[in-house]
Amino acid sequence: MQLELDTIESIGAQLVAISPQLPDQSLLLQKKENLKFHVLSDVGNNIARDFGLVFTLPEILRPVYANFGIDLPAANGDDSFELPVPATYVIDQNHNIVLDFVEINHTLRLEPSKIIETLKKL
Amino acid sequence: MGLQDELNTLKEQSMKMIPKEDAIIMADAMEELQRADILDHSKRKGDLAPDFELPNAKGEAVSSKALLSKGPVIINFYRGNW
Repeated sequence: MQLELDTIESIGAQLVAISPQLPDQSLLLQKKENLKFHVLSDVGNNIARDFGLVFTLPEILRPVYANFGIDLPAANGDDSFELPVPATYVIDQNHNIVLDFVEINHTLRLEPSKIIETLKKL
Repeated sequence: MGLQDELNTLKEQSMKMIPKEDAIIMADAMEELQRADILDHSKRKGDLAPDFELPNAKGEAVSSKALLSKGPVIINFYRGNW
């Protein structure tokens, strides 16, 4: 992933990661992974809502997540149990979305090579 | 090996550690979410990207306008670092 990040940077693009976590949680991630990209805090999922990505974690899943040690109200600062659908977008300088990958199944991700391919065509 | 292959391997490993009853609940809930209309209004290729201004880990405001004035932007929405 670091290699792809270097390629993305050399093309002049920037990577932004957005989650509903409180900024102090994001800081933990930034420090832990020594990240070179922006980690932004979208408390309340307002921007995720603008992108049409917000869902409420089904009640049946909440105890399962709690068993894994995931405390969503503590991480996000509210007890809404709202989360963004995992999604990746490439946006050109005219603010147009030129590539999207929106997938409820959080174990599926966009291949970084597809992002690079799209960026090179801009 | 692509990113998805690596993730699939990780998923296989983690699924072994999840109790069977929890795995069933997760699979059922995933199916139900996929049937729901959550993504009907999601932004897609060809749409204008909504503007944003959000705090980074240090509390500094970062805006989409400022980022896009420098070059294309890749936005990754993730649920959390848990």
